[in-house]
Amino acid sequence: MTLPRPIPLSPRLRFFLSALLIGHLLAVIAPPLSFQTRGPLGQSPVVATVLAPVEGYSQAMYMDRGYAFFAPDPGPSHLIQAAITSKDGSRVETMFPDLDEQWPRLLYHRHFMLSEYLTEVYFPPGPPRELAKVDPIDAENWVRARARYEHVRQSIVGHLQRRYPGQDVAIRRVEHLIPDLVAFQQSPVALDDPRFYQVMLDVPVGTSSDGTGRGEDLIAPSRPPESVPPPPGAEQEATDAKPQPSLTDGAGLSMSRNSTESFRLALRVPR
Amino acid sequence: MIAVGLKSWLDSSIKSWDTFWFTPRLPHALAVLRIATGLMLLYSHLVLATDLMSFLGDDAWINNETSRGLHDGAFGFSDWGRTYLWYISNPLLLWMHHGLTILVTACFAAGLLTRITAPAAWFLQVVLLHRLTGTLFGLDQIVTYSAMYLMLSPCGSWISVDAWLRDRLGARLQTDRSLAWLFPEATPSVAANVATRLLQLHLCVIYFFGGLAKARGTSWWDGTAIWYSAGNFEYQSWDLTWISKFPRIASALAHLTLFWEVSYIALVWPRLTRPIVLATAVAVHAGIALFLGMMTFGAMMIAANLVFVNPNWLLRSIGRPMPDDDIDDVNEVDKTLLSAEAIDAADDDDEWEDDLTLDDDAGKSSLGMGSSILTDSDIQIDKPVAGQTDAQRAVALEALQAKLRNAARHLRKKQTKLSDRETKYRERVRRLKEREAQIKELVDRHRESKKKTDES
Repeated sequence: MTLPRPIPLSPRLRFFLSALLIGHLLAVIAPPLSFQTRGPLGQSPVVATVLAPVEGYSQAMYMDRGYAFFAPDPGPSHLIQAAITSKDGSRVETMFPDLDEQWPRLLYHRHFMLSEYLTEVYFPPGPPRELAKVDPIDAENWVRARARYEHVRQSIVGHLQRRYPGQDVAIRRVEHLIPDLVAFQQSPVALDDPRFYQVMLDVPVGTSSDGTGRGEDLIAPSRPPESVPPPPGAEQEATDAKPQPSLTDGAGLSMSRNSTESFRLALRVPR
Repeated sequence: MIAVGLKSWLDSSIKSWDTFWFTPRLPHALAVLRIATGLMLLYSHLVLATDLMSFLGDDAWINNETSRGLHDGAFGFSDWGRTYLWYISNPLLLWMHHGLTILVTACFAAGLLTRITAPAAWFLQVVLLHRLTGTLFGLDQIVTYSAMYLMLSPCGSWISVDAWLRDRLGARLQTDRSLAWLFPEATPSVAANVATRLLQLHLCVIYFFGGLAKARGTSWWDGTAIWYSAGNFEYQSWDLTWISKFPRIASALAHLTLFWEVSYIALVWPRLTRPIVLATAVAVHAGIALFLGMMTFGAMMIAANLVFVNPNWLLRSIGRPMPDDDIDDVNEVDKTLLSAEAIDAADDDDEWEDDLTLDDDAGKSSLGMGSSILTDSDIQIDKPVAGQTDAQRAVALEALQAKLRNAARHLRKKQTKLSDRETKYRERVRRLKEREAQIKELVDRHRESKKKTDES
């Protein structure tokens, strides 16, 4: 029931409560606004000013979210493929997430989000030596962003090593593409067709992959490449880690590819 | 002049602000939301317990050190997300902590000591979230926000163990203020309203920015977004690829989702559009739950939309209206009648002045009390006038007949209006009588209760 009139509050109490409410609402609105107003030059200055006083509170309360569900476009999934090699040389490959392994669905979804997160924090090896000369701060941020990715990756590898003691563990990121609508209408194909899985190689930006995955002129040398061979049918795509709008294989299979990867890379460069 | 207008606008704005935030509200919708939120939190914690050491501790997917580094600036990205779980490596301690989390959350869901367990459940959830960085998604957001706002309200005052205990405690509650606070009555309160308003606005922000984010893409505009959601193998729970054969349906769903999300913030408030907006919310989230493998997220979002449901409507729909529910209705009736009367009065004035007044040549007649439509000069038409031909007389008579018909039509209209107003008044009298009886009953009960208390 809603009574017709507000209860009488003292002006001081009313002012105090109103200030708290406004502050909280600011902390609710500012983070997604900040998320939407970021561009190549960084954040909108006015939004950054608005966000500044409430940012910490928002983060502590877990309200620093963008709410970009399936946005700007629903894109491909990003998975983790792990190869566990025994001392006798036999190797088992598993994919995360896996509905057969993780149950109930919520547990599966947590693993799914983990594999998405690894790609979200991905940052290519680097930075190029030229960047360090031109913009040392950007170069330093690059090193830190790369370190973040490597720590997360290593943590995942470490978890698997403890799960499979005494065995070698290697992981790689795999992108599961979504079939193009028109191509699917013309010739329906299983969504888990091997041709839709594409290995995401860890190669430096702007340097050609020479098979070692190592950049030629980097400040911080990258680690050895994730050395799990790609699955059959994925070799062709795996040779090029640069984002492309679409790929079409020899069989006329068309795969759409979201542009979020290039967008993400652009955003990921901290300024 | 401008200063007066500005002051008037300011006064009106402050009044509206006070009404929006500080008007007492029943907690029943929040009580239902408490059950949904509590059960969802409990389920989430139980699922985590099936593989706890993979998510907490030093051997987790994201180990303690990495998780801490993701927040404390070790990798150049610092925020205020903090948790003591980064420092707990002992599995026994982690299990004990998680056991406590499950216990507290179960109490919150059941409405046991809700004043304490609600903030505790929220706190334990936030602590867990900052540790689980990298494995979270929309469910964790909405369930945490719901818990956050629910802890501000007396959400444990209905369908709860607290309500049962309150009935048992009886008279002790009247003397012990702490107990009365701990076991609140399900009566209208500002706290319930503030919690409701905050969650309502938070939902609006979520949908609005969700819609804006979608609007930056192309697939929500060209209608292919539904296909790319349905064609995602990892999300898929039921096969929805058949939708590729129906591009018009798929694109309609994409456009509907986009426009609904962007307009939710505006259209969920008016009574006229609210049912449509909420029905769309149920449909969209049910679709996500059924087809995109996020049953938990979909169900929780539907539950959160409950916050826009009027508690009175909720109670009436389950056949348990509040005893003083009709008092609110009477107020609503009063308001409606007052506005209707104002409109009627304005209409009446217009009618008297514009419609029912005969032309100048027919005199200044009106249909006011005791007045007549016809003037003497009109009546005189029947009598022969010197110098007037039969033809002229016939024309004058036809004109008079037209005026009379017109006046009769207006009279009938007015009669219908008066009849409607009479019905409204009768209804108002009936409700006022009921209200009087209820108030009398409440007073009697209060007297009896006081008498018993005095005697004891």
